[in-house]
Amino acid sequence: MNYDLIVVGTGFAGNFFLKRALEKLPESARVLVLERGKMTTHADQVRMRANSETDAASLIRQTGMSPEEKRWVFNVGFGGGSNCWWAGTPRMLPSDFRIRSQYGVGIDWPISYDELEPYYCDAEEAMSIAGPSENSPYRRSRPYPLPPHRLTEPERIVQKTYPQTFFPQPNARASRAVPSRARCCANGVCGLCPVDSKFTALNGFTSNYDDPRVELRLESEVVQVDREGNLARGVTYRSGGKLHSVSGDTIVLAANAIFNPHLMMRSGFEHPRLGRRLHEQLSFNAFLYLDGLDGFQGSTSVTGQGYMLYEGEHRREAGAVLMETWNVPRYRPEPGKWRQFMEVYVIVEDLPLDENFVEPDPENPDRARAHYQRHSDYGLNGVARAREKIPDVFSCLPIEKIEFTPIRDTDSHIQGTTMMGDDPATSVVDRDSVHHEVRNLLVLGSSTFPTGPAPNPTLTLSALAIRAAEQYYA
Amino acid sequence: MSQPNPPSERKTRFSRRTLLMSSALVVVAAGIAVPIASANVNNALKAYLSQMVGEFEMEDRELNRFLDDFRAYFADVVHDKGALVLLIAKYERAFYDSLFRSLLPGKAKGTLEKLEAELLQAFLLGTDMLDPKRPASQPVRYEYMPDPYVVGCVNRFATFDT
Repeated sequence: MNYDLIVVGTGFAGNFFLKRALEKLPESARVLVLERGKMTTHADQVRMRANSETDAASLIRQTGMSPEEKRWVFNVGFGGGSNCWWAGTPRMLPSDFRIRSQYGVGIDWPISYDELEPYYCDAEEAMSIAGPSENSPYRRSRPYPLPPHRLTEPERIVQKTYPQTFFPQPNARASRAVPSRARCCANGVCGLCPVDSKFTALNGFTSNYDDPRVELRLESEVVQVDREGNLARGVTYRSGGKLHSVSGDTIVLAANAIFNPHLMMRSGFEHPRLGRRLHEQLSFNAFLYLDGLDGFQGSTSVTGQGYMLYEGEHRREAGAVLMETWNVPRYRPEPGKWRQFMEVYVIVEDLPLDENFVEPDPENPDRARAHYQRHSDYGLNGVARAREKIPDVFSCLPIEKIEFTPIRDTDSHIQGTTMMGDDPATSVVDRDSVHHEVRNLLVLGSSTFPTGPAPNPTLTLSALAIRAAEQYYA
Repeated sequence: MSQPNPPSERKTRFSRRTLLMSSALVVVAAGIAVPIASANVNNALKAYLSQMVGEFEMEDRELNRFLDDFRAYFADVVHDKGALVLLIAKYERAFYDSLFRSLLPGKAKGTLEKLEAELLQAFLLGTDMLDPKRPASQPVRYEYMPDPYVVGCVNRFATFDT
């Protein structure tokens, strides 16, 4: 049988593309979705206290920086990263799309904020995002579907000090109960939400699979994109220990920024940038010990979001900084001062380097090798600047002391490796996420990001996937 | 000069009676050791709790019930049933000796820090210690182990608009 559409991967990108494609495809269309992992229900995840039975770390080998210094977080199973994400959904700012034009560093994205804006709204609508519609940090054409979460008392002081740059964090942790999700109750264990409040593929994309045109095959690992010249003919996948081939008119790779390039390279695709520019943001924590001011009154786990160190001429030399303020119930171990504390999660923009890359592991090509040699100087400058400026930024609070952690070993956002761009010589896919040469192959997800702005990538990659379907089937 | 037996000829002989007596001793020793180990763990946790929480009035039986539940909860959290007892048995000194703690291997230090954070969190969320409705004269009561995967919503300090 020939399929009209074959989608590889069931995370955000694959599912958002599929959702929009199903609106465009005829009644007679046949769609095949292939997922490497199993489907683990929310109840089973809670029972196991884990998102998946598969040890994702065993599927890659880290070289360059040691595995203790650098690791990559992803989830194998139906829904991919939607199972383990913490549901932060900031948009990128207009300047993030034109960092070269505005600040003379990095690479401009081939699309603009304004082009993506309607699709940001669509993704926010689909995930019932809770956020501040009035005094929003973003230029918006539609309000957020749900009202924002409550801030903590220290955050209210910060917001009063910085009304233009500090906001309730937009997120997919419901501030009101919605049909398939409970209201968030701020347990602080969002990697596996106990009350099923955050948006996941399991509670948010079921309509994709109720559609009779769609066939889902689990435990089916795609090992090759089958090509004839500049046409993708189908894919070969491994299931039950055997190899199977299926043909399709359109092939969509949505297997994350490690396995999109891994699969393409194993399929004979070649390009100087394929697999290159592996990156994610740099992040660390700032612990604010407060004098006589209690925190932790917020209504979700991550309550605030600050852009006080984001925009400015410093971006010519140092990464932009996004600061999340947390309400996760982790208390200060000092009698009487347990709640006089605020945790700030500091996320710093990084600029991708060609020397950091993914490839099939020469020792075992079934596995990926992630070679991450170093962070960019630009990102490290951003970290140093953040550490220098944070005491002043939060001087509106009664600070006793501030502690900084080292740079974390991961920010859990894998990006780069199949970069989008207008020039086929320097990018793998075009502005619509279509491969420059193989025009019936789309590559989706944060692997297409040309640079690594500070905001969590999920909303942007979701909007890009919706836009890709809209453009492809226009 | 006597020669040692070659390895193949070395034998250790136990009579059935010796074996039975040894088994009985092991059972008796375990019967004594497990409650002692358990009591030691609770004592270590109590000592650390008093450092973090300060003075509070709580019936001993109530506090032990909390600590017993906490141990079971923490074993689930770290996915290792024996982790807590072993950890405390091995590194008990780390609870009160900062120099000793600073010399611990990173993994052990990390687990201890997680244990302490979880213990404080469980105590503040699972007892009525900070409940404004509790009269000051009333001892602290243990209400539930705040395991969100069992209880659901456990954050008693969160506030909501509706």
